[in-house]
Amino acid sequence: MALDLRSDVPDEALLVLYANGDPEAARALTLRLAPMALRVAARMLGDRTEAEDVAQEAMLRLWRVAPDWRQGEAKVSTWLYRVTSNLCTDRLRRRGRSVALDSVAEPEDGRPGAVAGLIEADRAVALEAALAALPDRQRQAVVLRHLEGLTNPEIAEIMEIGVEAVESLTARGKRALTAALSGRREELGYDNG
Amino acid sequence: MTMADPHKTTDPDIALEAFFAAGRSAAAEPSAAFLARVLAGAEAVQADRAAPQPQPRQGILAGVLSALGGWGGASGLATATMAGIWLGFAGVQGSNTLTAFLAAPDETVGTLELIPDFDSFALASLDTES
Repeated sequence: MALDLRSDVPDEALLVLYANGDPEAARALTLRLAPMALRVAARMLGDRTEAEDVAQEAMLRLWRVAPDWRQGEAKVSTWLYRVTSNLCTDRLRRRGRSVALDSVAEPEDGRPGAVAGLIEADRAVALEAALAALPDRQRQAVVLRHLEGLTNPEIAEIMEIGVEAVESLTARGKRALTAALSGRREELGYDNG
Repeated sequence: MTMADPHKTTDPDIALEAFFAAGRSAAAEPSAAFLARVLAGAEAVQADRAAPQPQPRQGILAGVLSALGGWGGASGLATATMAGIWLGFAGVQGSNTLTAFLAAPDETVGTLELIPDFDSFALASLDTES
């Protein structure tokens, strides 16, 4: 797919162009926003197929809301983060509970230098499993803050809560992650020495 | 200044940051097929919006009613028609009645009758029938 040829045009302006029927705006917004929606959904759901479904649905809602978009009220990315997160939360509730910590694949053992040679991907898998064990709101806040790199006020707007509540959620989430991952630090190449 | 080594630290925040860094590196990358599906959705919504909205089919009566402005318009037209027929049968007195009334303000006129009363209307009807 072609590169985003309108990288200098803000999302909001592209959305207006899209609503006016500009096909290039559709392409640019897809390239710019769909990967973000997919990334967040994958981190919250831990399932690639479901994440693609959710991201596609979130983008479809964006296309439909485009003609009624009110300039200056919210950033398009903030809106998309919110819709994607809410769709993920709905899915998690429907499936009862997210992936259990011990259901995520363990790093392979028994090969020469297994412990020392564990690659970063294994740590990512361990993090994903630990994230999956968090309550939904804590996971959402931690993902947005520490994996997406958003600020607390941005997260507060996405989650429709106060900044202090965001700080509380991320703090509790990080404590739970630390506890969950502490037992695996040595295994994953983080010795305590 | 030296950076803390996440592999050796006992600071839980720094250790956790190393996991976050690994998580950021392992972000899901969109496939071409996924992007194509999203773009197809965008184009479908655009096409739907650009297409003229089909008008629902309607019967003859509904078409006439619509042309007249709905039931309200039709009932207004019917009332005006009946009033016209009544005036045609009864016959309106000449406009000189009104002119005379307006031109002679000194005269005391109890009533100004532009339309004959029902008796006159009935007589006029009888004349027409005979």
